Amino acid sequence: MRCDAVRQIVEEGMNMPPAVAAHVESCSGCKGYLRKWETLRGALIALRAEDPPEPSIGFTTRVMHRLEDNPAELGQQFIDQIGRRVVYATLMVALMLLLVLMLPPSGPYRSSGISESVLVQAQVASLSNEQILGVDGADNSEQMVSSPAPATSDNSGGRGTK
Amino acid sequence: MVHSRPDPSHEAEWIRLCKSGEKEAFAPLVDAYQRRVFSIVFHFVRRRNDVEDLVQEIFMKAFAAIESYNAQSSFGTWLNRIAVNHCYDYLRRQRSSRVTYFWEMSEEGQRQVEAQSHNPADNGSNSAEKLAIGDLINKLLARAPAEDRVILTLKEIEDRSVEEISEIMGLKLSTVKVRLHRARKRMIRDLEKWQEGR
Ligand SMILES: [Zn+2]
Repeated sequence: MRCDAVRQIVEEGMNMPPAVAAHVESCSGCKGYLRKWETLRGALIALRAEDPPEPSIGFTTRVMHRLEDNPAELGQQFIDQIGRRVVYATLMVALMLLLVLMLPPSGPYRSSGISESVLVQAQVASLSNEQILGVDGADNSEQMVSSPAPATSDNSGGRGTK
Repeated sequence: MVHSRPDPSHEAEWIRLCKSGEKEAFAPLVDAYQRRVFSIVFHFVRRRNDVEDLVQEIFMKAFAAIESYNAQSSFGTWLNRIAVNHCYDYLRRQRSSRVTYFWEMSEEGQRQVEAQSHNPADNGSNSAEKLAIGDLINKLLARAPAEDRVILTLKEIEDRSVEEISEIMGLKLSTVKVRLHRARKRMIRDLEKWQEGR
């Protein structure tokens, strides 16, 4: 029996089936896990005995005043209810539409000079990044972030989420 | 102030009136459920000074969302769900703005916890041990991700069954079990880190 499966059973605090009990008896890792969890569980259960604070006098009246006084707050609560993500997604779509409408139609001509050389540099940088990633993988993510290549956005987005 | 669960027919009528925009009908619901919500919020946030504000906000949210209450679950369960979500958001914000360190614990407290973790069946034989382990568990909870803290609180402090947790959190039973196990493992790992760091 795998240790993780055993631990998932023993942590429930029920009577152990014989196979599980035998495993725990012979496995120091699971024995230690069970001992630590029993300590933590006992401490968590002890927290049940703490009395919660009492609502102070006039609590209901204060809630009702807040309902009367703050229709704007209720509107905000409604937005919270339907989900901020929906609002953000709509804003993003609107922003993208705006960008599409505002950008000049692309043609065969580009302005010469600095912008063109920057474009070439960016292409070179993005090529070298692909090579770096191909050899060393994510270890070179610092270089990816600091490079001027447009290919960095995906990488930095990934680092943002934890 | 009403403390027990209100008569279901009265409750249904108050909810119907609230849905039709009569705010006054919300007052008896606040009266009936405030103690229960105070208790839940206190178990989650464990900071007495913050509880009342959070409970007010939860009732505000409940009133704003009352149109969506469809009596599929009891009003109490529906309100619990709002309370748990609100506490989850609060804990997430708290965790990113506040870090708790183990070494904030006194030397004596650390010694008591160490003794306790070697003999858990003893369950804290004296009050100093109990205080020390209580102190440690509060720190472990404060350090835990909000998701772990919510599910462990529901299971071990609120004493809810896996089925109830699944209903309150809107998760599948299997997901609740997986998350519970993950939360316990993480907390044990955190305890080990504390023991190793000493
Ligand atoms: Zn094992």
